[in-house]
Amino acid sequence: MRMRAFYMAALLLPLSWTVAYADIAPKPRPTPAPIPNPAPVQSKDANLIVQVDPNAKEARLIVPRSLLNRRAGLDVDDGTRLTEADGRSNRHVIIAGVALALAMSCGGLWLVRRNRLNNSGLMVCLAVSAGLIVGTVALANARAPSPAPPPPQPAPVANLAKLFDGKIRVETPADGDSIRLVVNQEMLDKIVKGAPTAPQPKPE
Amino acid sequence: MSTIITTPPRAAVPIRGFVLAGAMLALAGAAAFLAGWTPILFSIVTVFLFAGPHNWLEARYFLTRLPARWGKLRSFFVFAFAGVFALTGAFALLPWLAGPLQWGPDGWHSAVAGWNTLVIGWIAALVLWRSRQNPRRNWGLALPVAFLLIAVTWMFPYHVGLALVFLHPLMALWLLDRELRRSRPAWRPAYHVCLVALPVLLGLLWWKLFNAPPLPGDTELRDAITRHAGADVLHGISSHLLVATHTFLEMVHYGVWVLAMPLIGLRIAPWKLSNVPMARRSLAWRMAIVALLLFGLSIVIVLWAFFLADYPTTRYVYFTVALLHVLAEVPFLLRAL
Repeated sequence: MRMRAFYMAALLLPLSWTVAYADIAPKPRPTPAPIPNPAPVQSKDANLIVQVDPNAKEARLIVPRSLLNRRAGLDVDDGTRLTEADGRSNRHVIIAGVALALAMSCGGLWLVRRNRLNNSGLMVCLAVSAGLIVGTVALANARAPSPAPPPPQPAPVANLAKLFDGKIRVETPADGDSIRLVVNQEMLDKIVKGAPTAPQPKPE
Repeated sequence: MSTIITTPPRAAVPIRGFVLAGAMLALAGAAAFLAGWTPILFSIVTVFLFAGPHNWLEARYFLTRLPARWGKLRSFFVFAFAGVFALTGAFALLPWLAGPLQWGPDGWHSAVAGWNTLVIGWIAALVLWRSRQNPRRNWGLALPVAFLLIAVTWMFPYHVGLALVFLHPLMALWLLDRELRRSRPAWRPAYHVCLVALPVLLGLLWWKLFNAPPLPGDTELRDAITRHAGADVLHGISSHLLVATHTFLEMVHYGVWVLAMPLIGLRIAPWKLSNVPMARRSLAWRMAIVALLLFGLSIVIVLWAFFLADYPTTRYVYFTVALLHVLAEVPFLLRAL
């Protein structure tokens, strides 16, 4: 029994070192400026219809839901697919921790109840624990993963003339497959007036 | 002193299973080659050809393993079948619930991890239940292992789900081993040699394809097949390799249920019911089993028709409902152990 207690103590002591060592703050190092990682732009080809409604009091942008709805980011491979890191919250980690604790206690009970904790069993326990300790130390001291490179962004379009600046109502009907922009005559005139004129060919 | 040397019974064993071993090796080799060469096409063709029939033959095999009267096993089988249907239903409901409940990544993580937890709990309960039935087994380790898996699933739910996708084909190999032990013990050594070939073939596939360019996901179907093989979970691994591995294992699984099990486990034409214990209970039971098998056959034919009409949708629906047979293998495997 004393021997068993000794083995258990020998098993637990290095664990405390690991916890203590893993909690030491890293040495201050010059850190490079963080790379901005903007949300990737998602694109989808669609048909655009501009309609003039003389009775419209405000501009309306109608975007069918089929062009908006996506199943948990799984539909397109644009760098926004579901990954393991996504969605994992503290609640999930707590549940995992509780389950892990239950696994260890049940495993301990299983070991003790059937008197499996003989010399060979202890050696296996020690070997597994040593492996876990080495793994923990290695993981705790590993370099932080470098941030993922930002996904390729579409080239910015510069020097666009502003044709319209005002409020717009956005609607998302369930049907349809075209994007519609509904404006009244006044807005249309404003847009047309603001449009830059195409360069005229010089007379010879 | 006698000088007669008798051949030990085990010496003749591999030769008796030679045909089976040769056929299985040839099938596995061809499957590995085709899965590596043209994984998407191979996946489409094998699912079209064998998805329905292998489920029907699996159900037919399970009927031979179900006792005529459940007796003390009634609670075990009722719990097992209730779990199979409830878990499959819950799995099919997940996408329907996602919209109204507005699940984001966090919601999906919880839902998938929760479903995985239910599956692990159900399996652990069956394992502990089975260990208390005759012949009794010392499977007390199941509980800590189950909790460990639950811990893993709450951290990596999609990886655990993917493990089920890849490990399920191997469960058929385990069931076949138990069936061989029961009905053709002389063939087991040859079969075990075949099993050694499996990691060799997988190793060859991974060696050839570890840096293969990813498969184009230019259509909905291609995208669905690569996603099913884990391309959106295992980042950094060639989708070609993932699809090839999955398709190869699926083909091995189909080979077991369509070829090996009818040959070894049924040993009579599948439409003959002399080896179905429940069919011997009464005429009514016999008629019910005939009706069940005919219904299954009609589903196989309808599945083929739907595959021809709209392959991508049918494939999606099939792989949702196919969870039924994945889970159904668990209680039967446990009873066979």
